Amino acid sequence: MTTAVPPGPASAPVAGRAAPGGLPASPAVGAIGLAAEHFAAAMLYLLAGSVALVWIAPELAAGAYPSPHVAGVTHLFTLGWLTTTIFGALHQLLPVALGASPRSSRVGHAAFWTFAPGVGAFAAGVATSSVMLHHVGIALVGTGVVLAVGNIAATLPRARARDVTWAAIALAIAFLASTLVLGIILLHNLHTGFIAGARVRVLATHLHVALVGWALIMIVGVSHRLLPMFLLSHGATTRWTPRAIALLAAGVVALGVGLASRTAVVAWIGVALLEGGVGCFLWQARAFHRARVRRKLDVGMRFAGCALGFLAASALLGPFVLAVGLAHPRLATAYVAIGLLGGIVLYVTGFFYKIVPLLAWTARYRGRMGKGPVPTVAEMFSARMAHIQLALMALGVALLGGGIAAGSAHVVRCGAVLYLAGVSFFTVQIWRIARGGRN
Amino acid sequence: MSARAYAGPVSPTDRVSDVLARDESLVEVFVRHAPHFAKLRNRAMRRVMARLVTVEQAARTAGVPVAELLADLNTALGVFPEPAPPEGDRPADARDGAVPAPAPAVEDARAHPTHAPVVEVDVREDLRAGREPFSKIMSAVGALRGDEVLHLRAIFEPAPLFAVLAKRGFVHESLRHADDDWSVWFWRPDAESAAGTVPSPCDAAAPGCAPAAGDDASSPHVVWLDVRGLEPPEPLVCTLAALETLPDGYALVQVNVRVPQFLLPVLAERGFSCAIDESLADRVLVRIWRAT
Repeated sequence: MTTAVPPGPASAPVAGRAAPGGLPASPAVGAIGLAAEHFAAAMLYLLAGSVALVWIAPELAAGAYPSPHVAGVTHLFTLGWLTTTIFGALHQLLPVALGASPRSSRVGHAAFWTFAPGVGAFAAGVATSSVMLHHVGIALVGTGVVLAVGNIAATLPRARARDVTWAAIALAIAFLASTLVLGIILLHNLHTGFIAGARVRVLATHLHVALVGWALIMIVGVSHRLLPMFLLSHGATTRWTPRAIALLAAGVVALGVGLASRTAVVAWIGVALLEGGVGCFLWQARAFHRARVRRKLDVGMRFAGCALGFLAASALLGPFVLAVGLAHPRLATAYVAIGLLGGIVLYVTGFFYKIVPLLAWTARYRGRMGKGPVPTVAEMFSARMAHIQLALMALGVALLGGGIAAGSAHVVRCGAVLYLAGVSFFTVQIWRIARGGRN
Repeated sequence: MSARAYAGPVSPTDRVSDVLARDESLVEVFVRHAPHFAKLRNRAMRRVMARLVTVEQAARTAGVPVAELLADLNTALGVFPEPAPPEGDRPADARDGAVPAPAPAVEDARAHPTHAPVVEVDVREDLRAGREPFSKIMSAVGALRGDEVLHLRAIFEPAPLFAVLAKRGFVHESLRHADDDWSVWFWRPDAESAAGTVPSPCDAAAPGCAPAAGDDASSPHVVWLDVRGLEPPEPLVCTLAALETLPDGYALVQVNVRVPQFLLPVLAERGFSCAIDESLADRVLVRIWRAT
């Protein structure tokens, strides 16, 4: 082992330069600022989405998932929270995961300043059926997505290793581009009605391409790196991640083809593949958890664990949704609400608790690290408040799901209020973290 | 063993195996101080024990003052160290010779948790048979759950293990049943595991941060820091703390499971150079030194 290290200080290259095949890239100092602006915008959209959730509770309880209000609010979560967070996080994670920094931070900023305002305009446009906001919003969102996808895609060839995380990111951005195309088709249909009766099927495809193809595959790929890092579970088997990604990607395509062609067999194959993909991801997460060195889970990992439970619940509902189709819109609404708000949003929230304090801590104490006592990352926020937040949000999702299934607007609204309370706690926590912690 | 140790007096950080390599008859000096060391007359025992233990640890194990043991060893070798300057006049890293002091084992006045589940590992027969017990112990440590206590039975107080396991966040309690029968309990302190938070970096409460000096006898001017069991940002903080006290002419080798991307720009900012070795399947070695 020791012979692998050069025998003495020699003319080794200086670290921190991106060099394919040479030393790995490091996250640039400015990348923290880039990530921070994404995270700040994402927090605002999460808060806005949670407030709006209370507002649309009766429509959710009625299972009116195609309604403009529900669609607008859904985009606050999918584009505003999820996509903005992923874009920001990638500026920090790509060097870690792929050994290559994003191609251009300038393009990263440009993508942010088109995408982030565009999400607000687009969501408002969808919710209020405003043609002008529609057009402005989709133009900005589309431009932001194209810039961000282009920036990430240009980074991929420079990766030091083309491993499973690389494949997941490549697939995910391809699905994001597909989501945009499907979204534009649906938007155009709002004004022209040109897809007529196929609208719901296209909507279902759009939703699954976005949530599974873009968000979940990205989550699976990134978790492959981050879960062992945060759980200290190095050496755990990792063979389930590639299976999960392959099954999820194939499942989304099959489901989309099946729905578009009205071929039930293909759609069911797609559902089976998706179920298998989620199962493999859950099994991979279990393997990481079982191999962890530090047995006590921190709050970030508890969020992730809880989210996996909701993801499993949503996956269990999937076949029933396909089986009953339009006959039970509340079931479809509950399926999406549990998967999105409970599975994906909570999972990303957990990783937020791991990544954002670390970045804020690094930015604030960079000069003092190793030279004297500095607060710990854990002291940047209140673990107790975070646990309360987790309880509120988890209970909120459970009530939302149960209320929608039962058709009770009161229960749904109670769930939405709890969810909003949890998100409010979260906002306070992130505000504290941004200011340097509670001390 | 380093060339320095051969040329000069025996120092507290020299391994017993290195001391005996200079002159096998030094076994009798050890035995004179404590009958406990009679085991070193046995070649098999010597092969296992002597290379794991420094002179300082051996003295502690036997309960004899390290200064007396050192003086007798050096006298037997015919080496007389120069009078040392007053303690305060010497740099910290020079107090035990050129090699930085090894990580102090974490002392914990508390008794081990009595209600916690205990995992028993008995290596007495292994040691008596001259078998290396280290991998057996570390396997048990690796499988230990957060709330479990490892109860190790050995024929001597395994002082070298204290620093090794301290790096993994364990504290210990020792109990001597007889001269050749010891119980040592290792456990993770409640504060660290219960809070689920990152301990204060690189102080006595964070034993995982302590760098170990001269872990590899073939690299006497290298300080090794194994951060594989630490969660971000502990590896970053511990490495920077270790670099703050890195003696001139030394390199620090960080043993990690991945390339520490967040560390690299900070190293450049602070005037350090590094070389990264990713050729090993299960670890990444980052060699760091002061840029000239």
